Amino acid sequence: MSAFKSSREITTASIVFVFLLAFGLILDGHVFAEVGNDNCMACHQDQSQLKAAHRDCLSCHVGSEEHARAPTRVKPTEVGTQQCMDCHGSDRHFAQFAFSDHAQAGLECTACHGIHEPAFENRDVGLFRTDPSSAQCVSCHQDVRAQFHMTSHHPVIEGGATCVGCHNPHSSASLSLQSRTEQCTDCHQRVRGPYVHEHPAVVEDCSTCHNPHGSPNRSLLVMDEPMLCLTCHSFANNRHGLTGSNALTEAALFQPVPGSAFRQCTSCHAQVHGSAQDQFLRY
Amino acid sequence: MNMNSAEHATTGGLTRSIRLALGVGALALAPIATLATENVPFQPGTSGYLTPKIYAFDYFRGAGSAFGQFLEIYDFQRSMLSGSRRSGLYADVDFGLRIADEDRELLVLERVAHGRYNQRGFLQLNNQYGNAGAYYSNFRTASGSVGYLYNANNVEGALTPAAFFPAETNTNSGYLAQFNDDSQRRRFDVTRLRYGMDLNLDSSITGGLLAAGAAIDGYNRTGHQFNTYVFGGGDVREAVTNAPTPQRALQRWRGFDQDVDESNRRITMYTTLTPRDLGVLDYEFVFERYSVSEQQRIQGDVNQILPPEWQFNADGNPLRPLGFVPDSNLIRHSLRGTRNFGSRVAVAAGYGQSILKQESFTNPQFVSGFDGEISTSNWYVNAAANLRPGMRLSGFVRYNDRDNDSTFPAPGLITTTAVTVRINSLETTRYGLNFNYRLRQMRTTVDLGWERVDTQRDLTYRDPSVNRIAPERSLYDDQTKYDEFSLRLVSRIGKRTTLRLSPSIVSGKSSGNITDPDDEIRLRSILSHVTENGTLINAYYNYSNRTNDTLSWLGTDGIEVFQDYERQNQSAGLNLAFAISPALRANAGIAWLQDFTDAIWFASNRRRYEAPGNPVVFVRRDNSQHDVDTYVLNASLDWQVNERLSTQAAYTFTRTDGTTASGEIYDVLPLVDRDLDTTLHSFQLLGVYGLSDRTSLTGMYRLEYFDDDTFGDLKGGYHSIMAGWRYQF
Repeated sequence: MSAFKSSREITTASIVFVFLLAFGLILDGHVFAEVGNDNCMACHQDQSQLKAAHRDCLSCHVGSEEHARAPTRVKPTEVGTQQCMDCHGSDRHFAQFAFSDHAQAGLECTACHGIHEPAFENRDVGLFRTDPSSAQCVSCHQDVRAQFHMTSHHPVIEGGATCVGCHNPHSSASLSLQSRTEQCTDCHQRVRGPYVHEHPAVVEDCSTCHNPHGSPNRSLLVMDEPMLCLTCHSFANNRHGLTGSNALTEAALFQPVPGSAFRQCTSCHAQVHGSAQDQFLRY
Repeated sequence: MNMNSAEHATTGGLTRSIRLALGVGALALAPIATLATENVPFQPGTSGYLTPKIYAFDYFRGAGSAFGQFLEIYDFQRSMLSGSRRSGLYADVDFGLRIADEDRELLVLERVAHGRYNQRGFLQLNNQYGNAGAYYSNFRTASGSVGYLYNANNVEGALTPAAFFPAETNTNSGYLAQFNDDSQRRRFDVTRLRYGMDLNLDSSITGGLLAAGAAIDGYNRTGHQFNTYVFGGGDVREAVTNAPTPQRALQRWRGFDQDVDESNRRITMYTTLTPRDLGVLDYEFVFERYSVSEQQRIQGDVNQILPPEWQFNADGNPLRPLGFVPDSNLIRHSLRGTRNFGSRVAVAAGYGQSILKQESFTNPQFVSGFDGEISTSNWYVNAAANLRPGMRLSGFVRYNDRDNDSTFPAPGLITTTAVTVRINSLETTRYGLNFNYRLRQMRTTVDLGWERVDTQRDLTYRDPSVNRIAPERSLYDDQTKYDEFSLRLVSRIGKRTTLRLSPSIVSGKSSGNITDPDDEIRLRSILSHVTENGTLINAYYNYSNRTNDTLSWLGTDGIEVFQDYERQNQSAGLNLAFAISPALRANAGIAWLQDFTDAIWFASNRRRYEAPGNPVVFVRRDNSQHDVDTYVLNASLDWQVNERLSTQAAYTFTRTDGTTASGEIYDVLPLVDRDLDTTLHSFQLLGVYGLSDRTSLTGMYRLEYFDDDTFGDLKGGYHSIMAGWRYQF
């Protein structure tokens, strides 16, 4: 048996259905048209005024219309890297962010950048001279912050250098077009040469000898002289031993070594990064 | 393409929790560190601040006013009135200006100063077509002054008279008996002034197709440094007769005051092409000019300093340099591309080249026709694919090539009979794969990785027909190859705890350097927890242990001796951020860092290059260990006392304790060189009192004290008081 007893009822039902459908569409369209910053701010007035293009709530909170229709039932959408990249993905600084160390570690843009207000506010007076971006970096990288307090360090805490001066937070080693030594000589041109006589350790990697964040040893050395040098170099008795003898007797081979020869190899081999003249890197 | 959404679900909520725990935006006052405008929420209109301030400072104890203070390495001050570096007054002003409309910040200008030699500023201009900016910073360090305190004449036991006296015939190592300090200066400091400007045109001008920009960056670095050198055995002779008498040995080892006056200018131009749906293509061109204006010393200059009875070898070349630093030009360009294929696959690639050319030369270089040139070419390809939701596979290849295109051989400078090995080229290829999987139910992301590093070196050793350093008498080889296998785990344990664990092992196939890993174990771990009341607890532990015993020296007696190298680093820390009350927040952290190295030191009867014409044998003298622990404790308070008054305090304690070597080396080193036993205390107290809506008073006290128990001259402190008045508009 049909649910509708007559064609009149069918016609009436159809009209009501079409009307409801039309009303619904209009209503729905009305909601879509109306959902915007004003609607959002009616409830979220505590959110600060937004920066630049961030003024349009729905450009970042994609799909929040449902939340607007049923604020208590439907949560607003998360803002993730995808939403940021929709606008910033064509920026040269962020285009390859997906392959960055931070992205590989699972961090979103919002881990560092606030979309409503600054994501980080430096309220540690121990970092009062520190560049704000570096203060933000060390708030997570606490082990690096500890290194910046070591006896010898790059002056990041003091504001004389910044983390982003060496590290691109939107990149990674696998995206680099420079060797480690080239990265260092971006600022330390004085030791980039070209040299007639190169020191292989310098050509290979500055961090063979230096810890750029901080070190208990002077000049950011990973360990003090002479051990640093003696891991790669043997000690020639006939120029450094107490007697200067080159004999093969036990007494000569094990002749005393003066502390003056041990304490600072670089006091004589001062051009340790390379020399324009001397193959022994003395001048 | 969002390649990170898997882990975002794991960690995103915690990020917010951490931010809340850190108290971001919790208090109404501007952040005090620099009062930086960039930390201020966006507001249309014009706003800014002006903070004139006056400092009084005093360095106390230390090596005396004629020398440098340890604390001047990182905080160099000078009185505005008297010019004293010891104590005095100076005035300064911080300011910031921000003009914004509804859409953007149109202008941001800021200057922050912490004295005449530590300040920075920037200007940023924005409109709908792009932006422009400029910056400068200035930082002076007196690290050279502290280095000078360590020179051989200032350290007890740093000279060995017995190397020359009483026989006065040892011309080989007799130079260790006397160090000749030719510098007249007792304070060495260097200032780096950085500056730059840039202009960037937004792609909206071209309908989203093209962006472009240019930048100029540079620095001037000026000051003085203490430089040392040792002459060759025959370089100093008796005056008039030019006789190489044994006493010449005492004149060989010297130090001098070297000017530092250098500048670097870099021009960068780029263009970024963003054709619709075809990805991003970015080209960058860089030209860099490095110039040295300081006086370039030559060895003949020593005649002006030597005692009358001595002279530079009349038969030698007095035009040979002392610490020569060349001018150079660097040209670099690169092309990078990024392409997403739907939401599943992304590819990033880049290619770059650079040429470094020497532009100034020493006289011997000029005579020999030497031309210095280093070229590099590098490329990489990274790709990633979301295989299915929560599962990602990625891989990369990176290639670096460095070619030494400098003149070789250059007669009189470097030939095939030179002692040192020449690195003709250095090629490194790295490649690897990562598989990332999210275990949704366990709220855990697992990342399995493999990476191979393969370095090939083209080396030229000395002609085998003459005495030389042969490959078998060098801990340097033509190949480095190793694999690293890693696991990275990010796990959300409960609602408020996240664990990050990254162990890896490295297995070496061949080593070119003793510091390359033959075997290595690494671990990085961090545990973060946020309590319901917003307390953040963060603990970490990092470990690495690298060993290599694959490289050796072969004596002419046929006996091969192997180096046995081990380096271990550990660090552990615990940090807390918590609210004592709504108005009082605290941070505290403690860290321990360990540097440990164990290696053998070898002696040889002669220098390695004296073989094969002379017997050269290697003997194992001793094992030595470098073992240093560092402890860092920091604590800070942030207290909003009432509506008008806020105060902050911070204290940092750094303690370093250890030995730079052990065994025979330790026994012969001077006291100041054998032990590390230092403590640094740093305390800051800041108060801000609001006079009105627009004005406030700022006061700050700082105390720092460095204590070196092995080198009394380095003990010293610093304190300062700052008073400022801030007007905000």
